[in-house]
Amino acid sequence: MEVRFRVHRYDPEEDATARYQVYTVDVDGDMTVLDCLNQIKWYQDGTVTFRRSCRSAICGSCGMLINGRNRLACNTRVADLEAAEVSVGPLPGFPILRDLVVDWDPFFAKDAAMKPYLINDTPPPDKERRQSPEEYSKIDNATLCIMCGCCSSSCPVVWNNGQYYGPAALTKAYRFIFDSRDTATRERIDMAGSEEGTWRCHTIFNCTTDCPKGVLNTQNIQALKRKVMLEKLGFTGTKLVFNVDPIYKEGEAQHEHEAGGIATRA
Amino acid sequence: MERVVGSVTAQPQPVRVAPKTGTYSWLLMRLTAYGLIVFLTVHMIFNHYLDLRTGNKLTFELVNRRFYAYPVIYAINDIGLLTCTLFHGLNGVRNVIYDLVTNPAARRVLTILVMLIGLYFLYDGSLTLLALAQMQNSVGS
Ligand code: SF4
Ligand code: SF4
Ligand code: FES
Repeated sequence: MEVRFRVHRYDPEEDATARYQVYTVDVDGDMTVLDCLNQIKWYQDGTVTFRRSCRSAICGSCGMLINGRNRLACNTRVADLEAAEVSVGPLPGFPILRDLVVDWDPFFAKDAAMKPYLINDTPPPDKERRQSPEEYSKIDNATLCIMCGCCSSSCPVVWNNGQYYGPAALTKAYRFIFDSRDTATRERIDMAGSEEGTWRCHTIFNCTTDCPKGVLNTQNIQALKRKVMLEKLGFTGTKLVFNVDPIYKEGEAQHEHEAGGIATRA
Repeated sequence: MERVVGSVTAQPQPVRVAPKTGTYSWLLMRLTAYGLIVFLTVHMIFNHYLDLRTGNKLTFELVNRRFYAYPVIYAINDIGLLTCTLFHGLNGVRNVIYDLVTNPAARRVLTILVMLIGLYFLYDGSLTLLALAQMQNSVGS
């Protein structure tokens, strides 16, 4: 089956503005968008530039805007798109460096602001810091993130306000704030609960819809909002009549991304 | 090197530590929403619905009679409604400002402006309602 690929092209040294270039690829069987981009690069036009590495939906390099949705190129079968033409562009809202390659510096600066590592000031126990399955279940879904940027790049608030931390960084904050072994809740809440944090989220759900790993970003941000509020009101450690933990609907934590089809663990 | 930005307008900006405000306006947004449900229900029953007992059509005279009967409750309810509506609506405007404007000084100035608009309407509306209630009270007694 011949499929037309409209590929976003921009060379900062040659082009005044970006343009789209059309290539035709003979697609068969289970070929993914990344396979097709490789075909274009290897056999038709070596100048087409994009990032990829694992081609297994685990490194997060190949997030792109494919037929109007942010997806991983290596995880999107062309046949599943059911289209005679496939349009491939860089992740929206990120500065473009060349063709499909975007500048990740702002994205990772926001991630770093959330201190994306376990902090625990208490002396380590003899063996390991243990966590029960129940405690782990609160963060299981958030640990699936592969930092592909599809969520933050689909968020209209991020498009308008480059300062907003965005769903990826906030899910990272969530992942450590709700980790029973971590003790730096306050520091993270100072960032995540600021004016450029949780309060900018208007529950538009684009980030959850477009996450190729099924991370429930919007729900995580709502849980963070409740947590930030209770911390600020001084209810830390108090046994509450209601639950601040994420409220996932039955079966939601295993939801399957319609394009990628990757089932996440419960 | 000049950077081309995609179909949308985000510009790379260094991460800055934003003010830690926002929590209370989020909480009050929820509380005023509950307030709106209560005050609006009372207001609608008082001002806009049929005479439930007799099924009579709503008339100016009927509303007036209710008003004479309960001027204080009426004023308290409508001042509550006005407060919740103003906070809820104008906090929405503030949220839009914070989404679209990133300059901290501009945010502050616009927030103060929105607050002044809210306070003016709260003052003006409350005075009118209180004056009405007082009038009804003195007429009623
Ligand atoms: S939450 Fe999902 S979309 Fe966002 S960076 Fe992680 S894996 Fe990608
Ligand atoms: S739910 Fe929040 S973070 Fe996600 S896209 Fe919407 S506004 Fe952005
Ligand atoms: S190439 Fe690694 S996620 Fe697609």
